[in-house]
Amino acid sequence: MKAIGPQEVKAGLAANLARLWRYGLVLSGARDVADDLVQATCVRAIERADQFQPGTQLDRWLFSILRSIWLNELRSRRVREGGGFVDASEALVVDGGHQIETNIFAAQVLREVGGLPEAQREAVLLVYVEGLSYREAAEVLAAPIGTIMSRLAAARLTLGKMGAASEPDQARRPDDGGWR
Amino acid sequence: MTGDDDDARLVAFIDGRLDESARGAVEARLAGDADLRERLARLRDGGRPFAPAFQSLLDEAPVERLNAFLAALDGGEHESASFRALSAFRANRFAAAAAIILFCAGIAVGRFGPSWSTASPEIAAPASGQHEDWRQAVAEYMSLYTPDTFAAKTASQPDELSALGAKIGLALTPERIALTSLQFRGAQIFSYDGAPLGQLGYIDPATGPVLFCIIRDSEPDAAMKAEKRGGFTVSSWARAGHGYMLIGRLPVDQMAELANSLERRF
Repeated sequence: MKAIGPQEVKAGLAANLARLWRYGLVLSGARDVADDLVQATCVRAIERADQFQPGTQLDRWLFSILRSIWLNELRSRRVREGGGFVDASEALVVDGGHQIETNIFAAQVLREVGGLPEAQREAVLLVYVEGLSYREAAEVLAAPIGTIMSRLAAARLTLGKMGAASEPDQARRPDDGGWR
Repeated sequence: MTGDDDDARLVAFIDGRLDESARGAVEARLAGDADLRERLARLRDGGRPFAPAFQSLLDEAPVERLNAFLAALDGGEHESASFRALSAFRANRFAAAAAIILFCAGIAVGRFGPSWSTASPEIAAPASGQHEDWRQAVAEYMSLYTPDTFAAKTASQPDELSALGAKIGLALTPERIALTSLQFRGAQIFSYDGAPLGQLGYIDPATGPVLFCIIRDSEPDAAMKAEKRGGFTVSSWARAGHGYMLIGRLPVDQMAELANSLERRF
């Protein structure tokens, strides 16, 4: 399969900026950090265009890059700096503000998810929001599939204690057909 | 199977991600295990309409700004330049923008071009051409700033100023850097060609961001001068090994007045 070049990666980035930013926000809980993450992801993805494996999905690859930058560079820096770190539950709701005022239920879901530990937040985002299969999420997170499922279970148990959703559960997606 | 394994499998069951045989096995266990049914109910209670709830965050993404950043990248033709950009990014995203524009965009104005407004090739580079270059870099990334740039920035930490001052070799206090009618919004440290470059950000209610930049370099003393760079008003001077620059969209006379008040303090 023909390798793709920097220009194709750039086009792929352009098509996924909002989704990357949302992932950055869910990880960091801070909008300015989400901005940083997306910009660094752009730089690095273009640099490493030759490492993209044709036949795989570009957005998953971009998620991996963003996550790696978060783990290896930004998160540690934020921790070293100490303070100034917005609680993710506030960032996802208060910062997510005006667009969702009309939907109190959506705001509540964001607040609840924002209160989960980082590892659970991102599992919820990748699987339930982005619609990745367990296997795809595991590849992005460089973790075993069982870990993804455990994180989803932990997230559900925590959310469940907050009360059952008053709206229907997530749509079932019989997309995987197995333990993938 | 441990409880955790059960939970993981039940989540896959709820999510419809088990194959037929695994699903059948779970259903068979559920039929004869009240505890497991209770567990399933608790996991189901944690279900939410996640996707629609998170849709709003997509709408919040600053796509226009990010697109502008992406458009300024060169598509990988200058790999080392991108590394420079990324290093700068680690310090600050605006430094990254500056570095990318400088090193990736081909420096259309020429590395030692004196300024955009006098881009005639006959004009020789000034003796302090390299120093002029940092002002050009600031002017270029300044174009990425919007009135919202500092919107998310909370009040600056007191330590921020003194830490920045230590890096550039000046004692910075809130009083020393205050500007009439402008709100101070924070201090950041960059590096330009190895020289520490401090940036103090302000907001002018009428015209938006204003930056006061100081570079610690062996820049020869230079008197205050005003100029236009890329649509911005710039006042700059140099004294005792430090180069200074005030840039924004304020009218020339107002900018000069602010710069003069700063010059008296530096």
